[in-house]
Amino acid sequence: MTQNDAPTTDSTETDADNEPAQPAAGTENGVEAATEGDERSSPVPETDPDVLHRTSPLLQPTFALIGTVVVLALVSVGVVWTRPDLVGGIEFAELVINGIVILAALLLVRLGVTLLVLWRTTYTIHEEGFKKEYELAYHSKSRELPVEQLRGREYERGRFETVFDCATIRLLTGGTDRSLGFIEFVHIPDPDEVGKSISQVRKRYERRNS
Amino acid sequence: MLAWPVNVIFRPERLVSVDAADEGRGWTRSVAEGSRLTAVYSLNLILYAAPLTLAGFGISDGAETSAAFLTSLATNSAFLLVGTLLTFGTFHVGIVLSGASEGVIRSLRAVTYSTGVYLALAYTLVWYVATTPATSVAADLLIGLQADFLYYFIDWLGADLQLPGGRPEPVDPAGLSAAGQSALLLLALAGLYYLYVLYVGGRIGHGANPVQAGIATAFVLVSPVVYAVSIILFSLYA
Repeated sequence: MTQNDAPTTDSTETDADNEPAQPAAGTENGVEAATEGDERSSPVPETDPDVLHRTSPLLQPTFALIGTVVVLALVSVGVVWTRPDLVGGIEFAELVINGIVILAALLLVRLGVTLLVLWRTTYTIHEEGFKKEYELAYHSKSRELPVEQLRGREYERGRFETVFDCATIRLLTGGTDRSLGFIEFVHIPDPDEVGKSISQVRKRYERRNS
Repeated sequence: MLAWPVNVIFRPERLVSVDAADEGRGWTRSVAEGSRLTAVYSLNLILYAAPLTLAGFGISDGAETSAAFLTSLATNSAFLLVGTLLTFGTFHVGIVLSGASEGVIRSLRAVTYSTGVYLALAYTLVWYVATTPATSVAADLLIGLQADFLYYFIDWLGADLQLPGGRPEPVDPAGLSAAGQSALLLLALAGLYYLYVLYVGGRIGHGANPVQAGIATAFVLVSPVVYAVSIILFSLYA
């Protein structure tokens, strides 16, 4: 029932440990040019010079998760339907099948909402910090992490993310958990570029304050 | 407030995720967080026990004083409270033994919501099934299940014990009413959510890996076995 896929790769590093940041490949003055034909990765509005990188989550991992739930539910229903003796008879089989269908429906509603939110989400890295925002059905929400609050970052690549070549990066503050004190860039198609931009922002901040 | 029912049904892990602002930093924060969780749990406990008591459950005939009401309220709450304490004890021992413990408060958070919401719902459903004539077959099934569970361990230990009423006759599930079927279904779902919140409480609250959180949840699952074996041994040797 969790939103994220099971992790296969997971690493956390403090920002102070990062190598001196270099401008990301394909950038000019730290501002990336939008990649033609890949609308969800790095389309930066050149009108805003403070923005280093802008990206949106890939939807394929969530679609894959939805497909997995549907397949698992169908297989489970099929097994119970054809072998009711496994659960104690036909009356109990009906009960179990209803339970599977309800659970699958709850999961699919939830994943559907997740999908819609991800579809409308944008992640932005700018000189002052990191921002996650979405707008959906007349409801908008944004969360911003100022660069001076950044204490470290966590990189995670789940199984579906590996298949679709994307990853999740969490930017951590002083909080020790993953709730209020972090911002999450989920299923980003360009984690390396995002990582470089984060280092770059942090480095510039340190330079300004040294 | 509106998000709460959505979280209960669709995203139960939100119930156990800790806000950084509430994070236990030192005794003051821990006490504040512990108090807040206790308040949430107490409210859930009253929400669970008050309707039972108002319906006359646990009140002896003729006793209509407020003292009788409060006594039966306390008695009705006690069942859930014992369930909570057992869950808390077994879950925290499991999480400590798995080496993932990040403190009592985080276990308290997981247990507060898993028992205060889902176990309370399960108890309410059992009460409904037991007291509604339309669900008598479902009630017999539940009683039969409990008796079979206890008799399994009585036979396993070779104990010469009988439960009051003896071994229950097999119940024909064909007589299950629609209400009974729905109640059993909801009961199963409440049980799954109850275990899931504990598992995810281990994963998010304590930062445990899947195996560690699984061990903690398994400890809770094992507690009815420990309880059954204990009362059998107690009956034999006490």
